[in-house]
Amino acid sequence: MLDDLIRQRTGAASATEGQRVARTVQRVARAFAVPALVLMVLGLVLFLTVHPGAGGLPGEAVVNVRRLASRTLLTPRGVMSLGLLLLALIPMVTVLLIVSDRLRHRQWTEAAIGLGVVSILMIGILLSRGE
Amino acid sequence: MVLIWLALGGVGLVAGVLGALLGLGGGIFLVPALTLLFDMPIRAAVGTSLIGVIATSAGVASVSKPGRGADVRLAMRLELATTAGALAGSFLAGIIAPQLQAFAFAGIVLATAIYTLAKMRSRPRSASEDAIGGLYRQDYVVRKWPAGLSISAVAGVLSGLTGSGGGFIKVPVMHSVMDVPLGIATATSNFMVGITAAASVMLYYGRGDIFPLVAVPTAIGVFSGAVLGSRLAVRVRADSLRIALVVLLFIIALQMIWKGVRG
Repeated sequence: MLDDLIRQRTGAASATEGQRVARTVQRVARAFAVPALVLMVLGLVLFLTVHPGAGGLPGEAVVNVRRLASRTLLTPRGVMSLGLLLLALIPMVTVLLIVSDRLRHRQWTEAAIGLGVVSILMIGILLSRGE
Repeated sequence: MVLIWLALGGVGLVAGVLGALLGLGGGIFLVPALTLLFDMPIRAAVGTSLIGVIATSAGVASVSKPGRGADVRLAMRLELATTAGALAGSFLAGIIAPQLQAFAFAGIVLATAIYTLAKMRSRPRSASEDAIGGLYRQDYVVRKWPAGLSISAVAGVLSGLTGSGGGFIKVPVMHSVMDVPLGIATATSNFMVGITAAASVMLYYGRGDIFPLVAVPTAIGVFSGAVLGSRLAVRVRADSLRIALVVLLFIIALQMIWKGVRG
């Protein structure tokens, strides 16, 4: 059964399917990359304002940003990390959408393989928490 | 601090442009730049490079026209092996000596240089429709799955260990071993690199090998470079860049070997 799972003929990859997936990849990249970049830039700006030695906004603006950061726990490092996390999630979300597409088209074997890839990515996340 | 961020962003921009233009991924340029120019520890450089690979992949995908697509079925099957290998490689990076990681990276760079040279020599002389059509023909049957999966796992280990995308292994494996047309193999590899990098990046982050103050400006630069490189790709003759690239890669390999020897 494993042989059948792995050896399934893939040579007849339809151009339509490939283009459908390419459009999915593009949508995910755009949807996640823009907020990721915004958060990253915001994090850099926040860092500059709460660390006066590094240069940044003058006077009262610095005080207000520090007050906001301490109330909301949105530290510069936290905001930057959130941006990096969004970027790092792009591939996993892409694979999940491909799995969803396969399920919609009742391609159970392909969906199972996609879920296998997602599982391995999740193992990476779980292992990182143990480090 | 701002100057350092601008420098990191600039390095990322160049890596992103070259990665998008030459299809090599930004990692092969980012790791040596971060270790040799900024004297970063190699594990941190590899972690940042993995973020760069994902940013390159996202940048190119966000602007490319969905044209001749990847063989997604093939990609998903190979990714089972590649992502598992990437996890193993990332785990290994946490326990081996940094010098060994530097040597492994030097090996990857040398292999990439040789692969790029071989690719230049085997390019079809005429850009006829038949030649291009042959690169993307659909009537192929994928063969030698055990070999393909095994070598993909090795590509994943190397990706996790060195922060590269692994395309220089994946494309020849798919094309020469598994009988996939070259154009489809390349598109499939480009689709796979981001997923492979994502498998490793969480482990590096959990270990504290990714510093946001370094990774963020680099990622912004890489993403911008990848978008720019994708737009330039239709105007720039990549062949003339490849010759300079091969020379640069040999120099980088020597520098990384020297860094490994020095410790």
